[in-house]
Amino acid sequence: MTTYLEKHSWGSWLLTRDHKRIGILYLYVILFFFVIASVAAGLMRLELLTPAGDLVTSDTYNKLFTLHGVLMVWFFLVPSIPAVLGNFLLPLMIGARDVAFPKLNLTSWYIFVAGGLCALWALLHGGVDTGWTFYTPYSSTYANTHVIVMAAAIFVAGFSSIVTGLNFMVTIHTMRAPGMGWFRLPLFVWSLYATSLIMVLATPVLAITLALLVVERLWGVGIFDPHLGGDPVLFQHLFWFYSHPAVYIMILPGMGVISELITCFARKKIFGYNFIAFSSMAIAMLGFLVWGHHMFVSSQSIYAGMVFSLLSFLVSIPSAIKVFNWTATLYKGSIVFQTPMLYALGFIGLFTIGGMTGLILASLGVDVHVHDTYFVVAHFHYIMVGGMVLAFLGGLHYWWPKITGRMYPELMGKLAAVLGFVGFNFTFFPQFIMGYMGMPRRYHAYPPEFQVFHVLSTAGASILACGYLLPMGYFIWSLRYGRKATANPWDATGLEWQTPSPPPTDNFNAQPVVTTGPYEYDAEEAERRAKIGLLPQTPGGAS
Amino acid sequence: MSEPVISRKTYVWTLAGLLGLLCLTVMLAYLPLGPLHLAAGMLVSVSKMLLIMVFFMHLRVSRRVIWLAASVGFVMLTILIVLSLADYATRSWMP
Amino acid sequence: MNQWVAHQFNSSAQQREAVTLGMWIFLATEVLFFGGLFAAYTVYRHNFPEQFHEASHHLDIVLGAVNTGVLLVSSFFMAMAVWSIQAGRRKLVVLNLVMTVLLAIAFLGIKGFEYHHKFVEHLVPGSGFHYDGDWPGRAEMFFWLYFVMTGLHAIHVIIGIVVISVMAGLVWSGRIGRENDAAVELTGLYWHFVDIVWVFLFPLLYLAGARG
Repeated sequence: MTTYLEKHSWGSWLLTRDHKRIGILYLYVILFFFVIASVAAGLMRLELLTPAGDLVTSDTYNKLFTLHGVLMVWFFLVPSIPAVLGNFLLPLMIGARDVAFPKLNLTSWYIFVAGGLCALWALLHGGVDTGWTFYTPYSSTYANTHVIVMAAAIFVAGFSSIVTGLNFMVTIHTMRAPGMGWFRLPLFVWSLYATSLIMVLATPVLAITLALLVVERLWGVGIFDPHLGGDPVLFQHLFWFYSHPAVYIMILPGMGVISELITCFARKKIFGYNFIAFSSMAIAMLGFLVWGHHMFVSSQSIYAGMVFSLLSFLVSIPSAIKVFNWTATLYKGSIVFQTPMLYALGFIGLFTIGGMTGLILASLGVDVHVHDTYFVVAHFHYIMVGGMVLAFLGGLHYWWPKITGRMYPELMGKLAAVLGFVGFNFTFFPQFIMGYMGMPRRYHAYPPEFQVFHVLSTAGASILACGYLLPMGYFIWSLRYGRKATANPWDATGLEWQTPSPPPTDNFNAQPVVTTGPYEYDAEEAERRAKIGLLPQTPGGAS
Repeated sequence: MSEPVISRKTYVWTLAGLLGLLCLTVMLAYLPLGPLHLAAGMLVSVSKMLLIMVFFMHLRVSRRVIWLAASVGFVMLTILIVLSLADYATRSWMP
Repeated sequence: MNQWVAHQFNSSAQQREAVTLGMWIFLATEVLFFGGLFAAYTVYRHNFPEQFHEASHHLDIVLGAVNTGVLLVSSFFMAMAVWSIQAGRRKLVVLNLVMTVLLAIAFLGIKGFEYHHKFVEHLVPGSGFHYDGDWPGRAEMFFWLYFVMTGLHAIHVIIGIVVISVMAGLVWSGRIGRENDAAVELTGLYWHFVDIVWVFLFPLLYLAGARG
């Protein structure tokens, strides 16, 4: 029997239309950018060891944090779980042979690579110093770096994410296996659907905004130009109309992964399936209504600020629903502390801290105090790194046997998970404290009283780095020396585990037919019910 | 393999309606409507859009999910415009 | 299974469903792509109502209305092309597609004439811009929006012309027929969308100020 990994030629990879191979192609590219962006972060942390700006100049520092932000957001986090794990798993999870548009899927990878090359070009020719947000007039009237090329890079990469989102939505709508009703979809698929919705509806606004920025730079006059009565803050409106929902592109898929991990390693049916599914959709929709909370200290009207503040608080409701449901799933579960589960538990804690501090930031008055401080930096790193990166690593460990047909070394995995968790908290918790005390972000030098926090943070970053390097090492090791994986090493439910590891090119040897919900872990429970004459319950049904 | 889903006659009537609305919108521009000009113009445009979408783009015979996909873009655009205007319309208010 | 169904689909009905939904979702992204411009227009019209009113008088309402009519009729021919392919009348499809393209080219011609006129009148934003009246900068903003919005629309028209021409060729050569008509229908959806954008651009730009 041939697996999808059988062929080895370059052509078989670069011209593939197999969603599984395309997922792996994405993995290579985003890891490449992750390494570059991490090195930039490392340099910044080194610079901040001492209060004086002695390692890099302020200009270089500006370019470092811009590089770190741009690459991490658009070339790592946005495509991380959707384009790698999503591409690999979505058709497997819904019992399809491939996504709806395989050629388009490969095209989107090439578009992504083209965007990445533009970004690399800008990087090699001196970088960009506007910050990842490209606020006008830093990026228009007063720009003196390669804003145009970098904006073009993101414009192009944006289309890749639109195409991926479109492909996923159509796939989920039309390619489900017989019996796979909407409420039998794994929650990861629901979260991918919500993510795709944001990708499809928000990214075009970012694209047109960056295009307008580029036209303004090239033409000399433009829409954000105060000489024409233009309002630079309009850029922030349009930018955050994308970028706030994009924050949810960078967490929703992580939440989906966690739902899969928690239920598998607690050996228990997920608690409140419908609530988790709908809260994903609610987060995606509410995410479009809150962008103004990034602009509380701009010239935005205070009344608009009040509305945005109120709406921002609403997002906490579906987020909290998820956390409570995961916790309730753990309750009385038979918990197994495998590596993916360690990541999942870490996620729940760190996401909760990140989410709660988000409420603090959504309050108009408090935000004036902590705006643009390390408090904000710590807050969104708790979501992006403590949330999404942990979920990505957890998911990668969980599905590694399916992707490669090999097991990773369990002990090393646990060690890496613990190192990552400890290192992460050492890095970012001190930032909450110094941010609250007034340490502004984006400064390469600072008053000496903040040094102790910066030293803690830099020390933590080095531990965190080990937590990243270790998996990279043993994952590569496992490709050759790892134990061969069975089709279902975790005794998990879900269609992707009912096909061999690694899967055949067409995913399933026979068309799967779905007869139950996705998380039928309660075998004993079902037995007990059968004994006392109750029928086994399945959530929802075919629709 | 398929059959025509909407008749030629309907297409002709749709075109007639569209051209009629075009004449209407130009005429409205010359009437003293004051601040209602924008509302009138947009109302005519939305009517034209609905004619095009329902008949030319076959929404009339499409499934609900297509209706959903057809409307979601406009819903999001409304959110973008309304919440942006919420800022610009209230900036000059004194607290 | 027939030769027109790609391997990932189980039936031609499923394939049809997928491509149609895909096209509509693409159009939703297009709505928001233009949407950024419409939002910017709304904000600045809200901020500078008088200047937008005055500046719009420099646009030719007759040419604008004629162009709207041209696009609406071209949309009709596109719809007829879809009808013809569903009815299996190959020559009629090609004829309707050619009419659509000819009208699209006429649209671009009139648009180009208008652009030229604006250039002569120094109403193109940039260093050569000249405008008699209060707040020339705000009028310049109006014309900047005019050029960017109609320009982005014109790019979509050009893409449409290319795609429709290719479709006409494929239908003529028999590579697209009644059995695999989805491509023509999707092209139609795209072309009607381009029409809808113009339906909104016309009153917003040409009729921004009352003419009476």
